[in-house]
Amino acid sequence: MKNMPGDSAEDILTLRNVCKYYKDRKGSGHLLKAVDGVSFSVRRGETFGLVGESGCGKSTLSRVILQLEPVSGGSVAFEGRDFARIGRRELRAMRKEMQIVFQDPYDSIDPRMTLEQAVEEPMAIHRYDRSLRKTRIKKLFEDVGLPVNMLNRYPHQLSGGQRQRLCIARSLALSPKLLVCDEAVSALDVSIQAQILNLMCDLKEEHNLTYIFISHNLGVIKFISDRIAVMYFGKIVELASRNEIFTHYLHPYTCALLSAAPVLHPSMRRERMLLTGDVPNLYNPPAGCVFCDRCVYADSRCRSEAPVLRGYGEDRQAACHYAGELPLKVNWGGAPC
Amino acid sequence: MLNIFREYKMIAIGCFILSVILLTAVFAPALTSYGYEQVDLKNRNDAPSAAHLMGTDSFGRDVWTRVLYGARVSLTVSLTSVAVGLAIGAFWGLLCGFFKGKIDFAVGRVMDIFMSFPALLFSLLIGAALGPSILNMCLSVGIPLAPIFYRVTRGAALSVGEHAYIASAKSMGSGSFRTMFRHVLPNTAPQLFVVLSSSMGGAITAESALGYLGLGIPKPTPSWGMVINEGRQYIFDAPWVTGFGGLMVVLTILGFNLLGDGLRDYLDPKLKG
Ligand SMILES: Nc1ncnc2c1ncn2[C@@H]1O[C@H](COP(=O)(O)OP(=O)(O)O)[C@@H](O)[C@H]1O
Ligand SMILES: [Mg+2]
Repeated sequence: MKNMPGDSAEDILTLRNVCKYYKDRKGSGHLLKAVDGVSFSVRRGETFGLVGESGCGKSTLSRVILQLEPVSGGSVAFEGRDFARIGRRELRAMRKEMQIVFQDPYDSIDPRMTLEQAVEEPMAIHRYDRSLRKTRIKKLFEDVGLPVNMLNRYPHQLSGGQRQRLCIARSLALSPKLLVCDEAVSALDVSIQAQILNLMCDLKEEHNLTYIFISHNLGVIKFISDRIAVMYFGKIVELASRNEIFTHYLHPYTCALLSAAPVLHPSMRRERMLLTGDVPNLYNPPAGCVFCDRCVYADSRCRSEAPVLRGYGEDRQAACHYAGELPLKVNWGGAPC
Repeated sequence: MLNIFREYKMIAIGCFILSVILLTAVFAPALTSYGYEQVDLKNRNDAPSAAHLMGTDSFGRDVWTRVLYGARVSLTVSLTSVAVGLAIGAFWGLLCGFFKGKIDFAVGRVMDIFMSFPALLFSLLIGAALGPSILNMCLSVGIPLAPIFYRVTRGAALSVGEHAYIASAKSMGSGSFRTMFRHVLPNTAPQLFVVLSSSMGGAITAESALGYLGLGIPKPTPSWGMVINEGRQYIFDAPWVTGFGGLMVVLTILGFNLLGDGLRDYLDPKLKG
């Protein structure tokens, strides 16, 4: 099977069966399976898109990837080094290699820091030379398109787009190899979204970055990603290259997700595959496929046996018993972006 | 510096009030020709006059003199005890609010026990156990303040900890203690300032209550609490004793509150131009 997670040199990040369970806040003893058995690897230099409805565990997965929270099971390896097996000091050093840009630019910078301090902070933590810091701050400001005369301003004096530029500058300060963008443009106006997305494309070339781009917005994901993983309630249900996933999707959930996206022009109106049934209960997931309650094709096998992610030819994986056999159809009208 | 005063009137007024009181305390001997213990039985409970600016008390002692010297004790005690309470309470509150989990649970239960005593009773217990002296006074007034600071700091730290900038700092490799002191503590400061200035008043009041119960500063050194309490018996014959003593307490509390509120605004980056 190709493309199953492996330690090939082109993989920068490998997730194996990663799980993150939370205890029920009310103390009922149930486990909330926010991320449940996710495996994939991200190749050096690509933009890996992760798409899914709100609450399906995308942010949890990003926090686990960045070691902001420990995994409940499985392993995350960066450049072949398993995070569970490295010491504190090494982890601190490895934090330089991957950074995150959060959704809310209003919340991800300490309001008491000037812009200069915010960008300088990561370099101060890692004891960069002072004069080097100053020159780097200027360079980073130019790279992300912020005027250098704003150095002494405070974050609240910036617009949302400028703030997100600042967050990007901050996350690039340590020259990371991998940048995780968790809904990085979702809080911005549509016109600003486009600017930031373009900026990120440029920065990717310039800084030799690999992106994991997380969004609930298909248009954004389609614009920026090379490969796309579709997540549904803690699991990856389909993973394929961008071109494949928008034309030859194999999983009924992907189809439903594509038909749920708004279309710009009435002539592009299409048959929608509507989502029926209830959202599965995270505390008490169905025994079989997580999607079976909402899937029109579900049969008894789907209800009893959970499908695993299997490869279907070059660069395609899906977790459906009947992948490739279903008459899925949707006229994807293009990105609403 | 001058710009701060111009922009933040509250800081200016607060500083002015407090520095006048502080200066009178420091230069007390130069500002009066009486001694604070100088008894004059012929002039008991005299109304304010040119000779006695604030009148005399039931022993014929000059109230102005006693208030001046009393400021030394009262200011020392209130500042030190608030500092003691702040140091203990804010430290544990920050730790608990930041790390949560077991340490939070353990410290929380200890604080619950402390909080279940009325503060004054608590002060009395500590005061009685330690015996009367200025330092013990500071401890017995200060320690019961700790749970208040603990609670406020913990709550503020919990909510600050939810912000993405804390996760962001962590993802950059900032250690727990660095994050705690660089990001969490400064962002809890606004809430802390509010309790800080109001607890200053509480400390002065507690000091006077302890003095009244005989657990205060060893006599004869006067404190404002002592002046107020000694005047209480004669409040209808000589209201100026309690009155001027109380006025000093009120002015000081006002000064601290103005300064506290002003500083809170000053430290809020959102209000900066
Ligand atoms: N710290 C936590 N404790 C308990 N439940 C959590 C926690 N963080 C996230 N969750 C739950 O995990 C699920 C996935 O959340 P999240 O990863 O934020 O989804 P997404 O980013 O895809 O919208 C949600 O149901 C959420 O309530
Ligand atoms: Mg999210």
